[in-house]
Parts: sequence; C-alpha cells; structure tokens
Amino acid sequence: MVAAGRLLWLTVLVLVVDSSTPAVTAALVEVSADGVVARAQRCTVDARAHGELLAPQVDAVLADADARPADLAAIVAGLGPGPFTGLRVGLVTAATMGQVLDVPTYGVCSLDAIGHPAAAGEPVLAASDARRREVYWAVYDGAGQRIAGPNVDTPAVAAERARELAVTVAVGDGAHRYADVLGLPVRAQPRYPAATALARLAAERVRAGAPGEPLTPLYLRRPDAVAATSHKPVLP
Amino acid sequence: MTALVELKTLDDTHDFGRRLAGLLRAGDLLLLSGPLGAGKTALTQGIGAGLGVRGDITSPTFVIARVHRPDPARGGRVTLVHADAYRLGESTDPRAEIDDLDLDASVDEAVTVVEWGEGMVEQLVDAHLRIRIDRRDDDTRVVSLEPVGGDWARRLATLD
Repeated sequence: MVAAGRLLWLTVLVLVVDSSTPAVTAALVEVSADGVVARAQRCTVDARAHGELLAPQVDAVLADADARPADLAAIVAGLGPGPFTGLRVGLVTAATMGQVLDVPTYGVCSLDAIGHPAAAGEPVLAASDARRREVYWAVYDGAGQRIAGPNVDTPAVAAERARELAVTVAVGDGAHRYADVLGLPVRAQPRYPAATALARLAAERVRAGAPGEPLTPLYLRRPDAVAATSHKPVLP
Repeated sequence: MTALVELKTLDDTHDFGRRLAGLLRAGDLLLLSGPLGAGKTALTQGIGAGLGVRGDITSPTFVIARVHRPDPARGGRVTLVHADAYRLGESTDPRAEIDDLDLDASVDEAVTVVEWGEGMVEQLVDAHLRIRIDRRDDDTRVVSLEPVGGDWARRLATLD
C-alpha cells in the first residue's frame, strides 16, 4: 500500500478475441492506469476453423495466466470487418461470456488494430482479405486515426482511394495478397489484428468503467441469401 | 477500474473528502457503501467542507435526505444533497421510495451523495462514482473508488 491518501490503481484482467481474419486470436491482457501488458496469447491462422479453435484458445490463455473466467473485468472483441462465418464466432463468444460473467464487452474495429499501430508518422492503408477478390480496407493518418473506411472494395478501388489520401505504405494480410495491384510498399507487421492493439484501443473505456456495448459485427456486405420475393410452387 | 486509498486517521478521511470535493461539479452522483462506523459520514463532511456548503453534515439515517446550500462566504458554488437509503432498503420496492425523495429533481444542479444507495439510485444519472470504505483491524480505512462511466477515471487521475 502506498502513502496515506495517495491513489493506488488496481490492474484488471481483460480477455481479447478477434476472428475477423484467418488469424483466430485470443489473448489475456492486463490493463493498468498507464498501459496494457499481454499476459498470454494464442493465434492460429486457419480460415476455416474459427468455431473449433477460438473457445479452446480462450481456455488456453486463461490456463497460461493461471486465471479463471471470474477474474475477467471486461471483454474486448474485434468487430471486423470480416467474412460472416468467422467473424460471428468471435462476437458470439465474447457476447456470451460477457453476459454469463456479467462484465462489459467493448468493440473495436479490427482494421484499427492493424492500421493504428502501423501508422508511424505517415498515412497508411490497412487491408484484410474479404475473399471474392476484394479487400476490407481503411486509411489512417500519421497519428493512427482512421480517416476513411472501413469499406469493402476491389483492391484497385482501395488503391485509388488511398492515393487520393496521400497514403505511402500499406499493411495487413490484404495488402500482402494484392501488393501488385495496390502499388504501395507493404509493411510486414502487423499482418493481422494485434490483440494488444485491440486492448489499447479499448483501454480508456475499460479504465472509465464505461457501459458495455452490444457487439455489432461489421459485415459491410449484404447477405447472399435473400428473402424470396415470390412463392415457388411446390407442386409440378 | 478501481483505485485504492489508505486513510490512517479521521483527519485523513476529512482531508481526502476535501480533495475529492475539488473534482466535483453539479450533476455528480457518489454512492457510498461500507459497514456502520466505516467513515461514510466523515468522508461526506470532508466533501462538504471542500465544497463550502452550509450546515453541519451528520449521518442522515433518520432524516433520509438533507440539502446543504453553498455558502458564498466560504467559496461555495454548488449544493450538496446528502441522502441515506439505509432505511429504504427494507421496503419491497426501494426504488419507488427513492423516486418519492425526488432526488432526480436536484441531481442535475447539485452534488448528490447517497449512502447505502447501491442498486437503488444508479438510474438517476448515466455515470457515477462508487466509493466503498472498509475498516481494517488496525483502524486504518481503505477506500476503493470505482468509476462507472463518464469521465470519473480521468478526473480521479488528477487527484494525486
């Protein structure tokens, strides 16, 4: 205990999940008054196994840190943008745990966790793979603030918008895949949303005890399945 | 995120209340909890001194709520409403009784301190500060301050 009358801020344990990209991510971080420190992290790159991988990874990071779910003070989740099937795994996991544990959930745009840490003084294009030969993208200014997006477009359209915004470098898995179309130098890291970056972007809300937020996924695309406009005859 | 403060004597508690008052403004809601004799009223006395309000601050258990107007001669600018929900907690719907107190009529213009109010008065405003006081065996007090929404965390960070 510190000297009488001085404030001693307690640290809190926060679970971070992101399933907006092929990198299925779970992490435990410690949020203190002045920073965020990773305690345990699991990341597996597999575009087709979010449902199988995420919950065991949450279990594993808790075990690594010798913590129990009841020790969590909040849950931070990457809201995407990302493909339907994977993205919803992370958000449903986070929302369910938040509800059961009665702790707040906070959402962060997953691209922010790529673009914000990469923007070191120059505007940067962050892109992740949206499949169907498109990318999810956003542009960040030199201070890491998002100034365009998130959107889903062809790499050519994203490159055009990035040029208009004087972007000089690209980052993220989508930038690696379409480097030739984007015509920008590609920074190696971060390739996927970084768990500590997600936590840093939500840290102020965690510290403030801000009300929890509904985790609304950023799908950006309309679903392929549409309600039928006319009845199909069931008889020949 | 919770902050802890250790207070060794009654003077420390008064003093901490005075420092806390420096952060307060009209519209603030503070929820005090802790066992009987922990120092909830003592802390409120310090807050009242810091705010420069009129009247003796005493435990409001038997009067339920007291209004302390600012004393311009002591630099007072804002009213302090000091309420106690201890007796209300026994009724079947304490929140209805809180409504009867009409705290929501004054909460925007005053600093409202409610003892034993957890679970009853949070609906008055979006953000509030939870303060729990515990007494240790050596008679020192440990105060835990938990910001709930708003800018409480940032304001508390300026306290040191």
